[in-house]
Amino acid sequence: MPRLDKVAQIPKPEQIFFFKSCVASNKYPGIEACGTESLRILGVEPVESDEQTCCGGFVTFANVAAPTASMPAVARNLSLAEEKNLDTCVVCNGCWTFLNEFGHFMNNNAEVKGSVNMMLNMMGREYKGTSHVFHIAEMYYRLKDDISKHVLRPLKGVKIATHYGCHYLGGGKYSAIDDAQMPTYMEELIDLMGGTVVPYAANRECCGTGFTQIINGKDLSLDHTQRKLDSVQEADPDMLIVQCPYCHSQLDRVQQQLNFRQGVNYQTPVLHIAQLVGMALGLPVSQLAFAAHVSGRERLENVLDRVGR
Amino acid sequence: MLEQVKDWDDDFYETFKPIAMGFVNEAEKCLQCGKCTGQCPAAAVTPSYNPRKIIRDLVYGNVKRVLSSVELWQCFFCSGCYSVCPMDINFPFFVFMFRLAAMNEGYGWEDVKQLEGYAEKSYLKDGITVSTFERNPFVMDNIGDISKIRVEAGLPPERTVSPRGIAEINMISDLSGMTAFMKQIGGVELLDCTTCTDEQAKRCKTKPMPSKVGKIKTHHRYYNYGEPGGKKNAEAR
Amino acid sequence: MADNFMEEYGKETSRDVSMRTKKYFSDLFSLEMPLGRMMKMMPGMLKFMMHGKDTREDLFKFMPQMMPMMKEAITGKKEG
Ligand code: SF4
Ligand code: SF4
Repeated sequence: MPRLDKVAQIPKPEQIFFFKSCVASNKYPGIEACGTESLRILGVEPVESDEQTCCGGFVTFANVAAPTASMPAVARNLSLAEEKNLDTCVVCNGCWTFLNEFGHFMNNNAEVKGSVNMMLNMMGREYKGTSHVFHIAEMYYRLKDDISKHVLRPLKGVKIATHYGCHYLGGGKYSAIDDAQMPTYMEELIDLMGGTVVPYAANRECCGTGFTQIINGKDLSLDHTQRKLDSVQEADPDMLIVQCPYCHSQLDRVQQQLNFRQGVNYQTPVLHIAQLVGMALGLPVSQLAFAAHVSGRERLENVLDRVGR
Repeated sequence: MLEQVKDWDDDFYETFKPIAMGFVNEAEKCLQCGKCTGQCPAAAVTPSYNPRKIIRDLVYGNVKRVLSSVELWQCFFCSGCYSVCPMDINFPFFVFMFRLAAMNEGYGWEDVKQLEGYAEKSYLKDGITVSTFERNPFVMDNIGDISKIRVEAGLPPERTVSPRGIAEINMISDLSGMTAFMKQIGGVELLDCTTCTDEQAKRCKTKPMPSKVGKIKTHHRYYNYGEPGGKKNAEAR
Repeated sequence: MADNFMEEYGKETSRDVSMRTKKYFSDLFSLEMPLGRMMKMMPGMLKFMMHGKDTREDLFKFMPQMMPMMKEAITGKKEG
């Protein structure tokens, strides 16, 4: 059950700083296109900046950069939103925790903030800590009344399973809008858009990317993803909804790798929540960019046939 | 794995905490309840991995065991342990801090080396860590040109970061010593036993692992917390 | 090859290792600006300055803020 007091604290702004994610831009452009477009339909104008870089989470957790290097990078990205006096909206769980947690850390540690600001001052910027970071899924939940008003393509009869991912609910257990163990807000959104929620056992399991394990400890990573996929396969949903592009890429691409390595046949399409909302709001099929998906494309086409193109 | 109690550094954690800028707080409150291990995806696929034991060893100052372990490098950074922990111990932060410490001791460079390319070639050059590059031929055939898909979706063909933005993150990286650190990582050469020359094989002391060279000697890491992992072992238990 | 981490470390105790670790982190996280560290930052700033007109201007705007720090670093004293 979502924490309604937390949801009530989310403002409904006219404009929001849309924080682009690496994976969403470069591997699954549908997430970026649907994210901006759906927000526009819901009455929030996304503002982008091409000075915004990667959040720096990957290089930090890959231990290539020490926190001393990533904190100014976080501050710099957030200062871009502050310059425009806007809150930030991210599409990726990783960006969300990273910006939130390191932002929080700097806000509560004046010394560190001072030294970070010294570095930012050199390039004519300043970090104040006034921009709140929201995940696009929580924005959708906040705007759910607007969503129900704008549904043009009801997802009638589409069986949908959810995967929340780790870093939003787990990493931000006090700032997320739902409980880490039994989250339900995505289910509510799916209901609202007319879909059928399919429960499965391993819902709260991690996708298995493990940040760097997919590169360094590939066997561990594939093992874990296979457990997850087995459970999904059992429930046989038409699609699996994620809210993190990194989970998206793992669950989508590993299906193909497992099929290739082990002769199994996983074919569950994976969609980001932004794409699902975009689909329900009636965005053109080209904007959903399913062409960038690896697994379960036939099934996706089938779903599109059913809900109308 | 026998350790002598007298070897432990009792006040390690206490004195370490203030140095680490508050990244590794409150581990002394750990109840040793094991909830973290119970829900850990890494522990599910490898029987030796156990965040509870790592926390215990850090608080009691059994530093050698933690830093030289393979287990330290098996965490998925999923924050699941934090989400269930009754004492709010943010274990993933411990892991990335102590991985830095382990690197300082010479462990784990071969892992980080594989990731350094993302930082140097993608993050610092383009400002974006994950590039459009595809390694998997199947995916390449299946998807084709990503910029075409982007254009169809109504986006610019490529996502770019402005030169000013890139200059700024480069300065951050230079000033905070990250660039130098990356060079150091880049200096590690990975030797693969199948391609080693006789000369190199003779020099190689820790046979089974890719080791050394460049300026850093990377040490062999040990399964300090029990039987090596793998699906087979996990299910036998 | 040592088959246990205790052998690998030989005579070194956990205390030695923990001292080394703490020294590493206190260097990493130190907020002070000794001369050596300042000098290490110079090439990065130079690179940023050479990047273009706008970056140069921004960096020059910062100069007044930097002078006291430079002085501090060179003399090794904090100004009251
Ligand atoms: S869940 Fe928290 S308190 Fe319990 S053993 Fe793990 S770290 Fe300690
Ligand atoms: S963050 Fe690491 S230790 Fe914690 S539950 Fe995830 S894999 Fe396990």
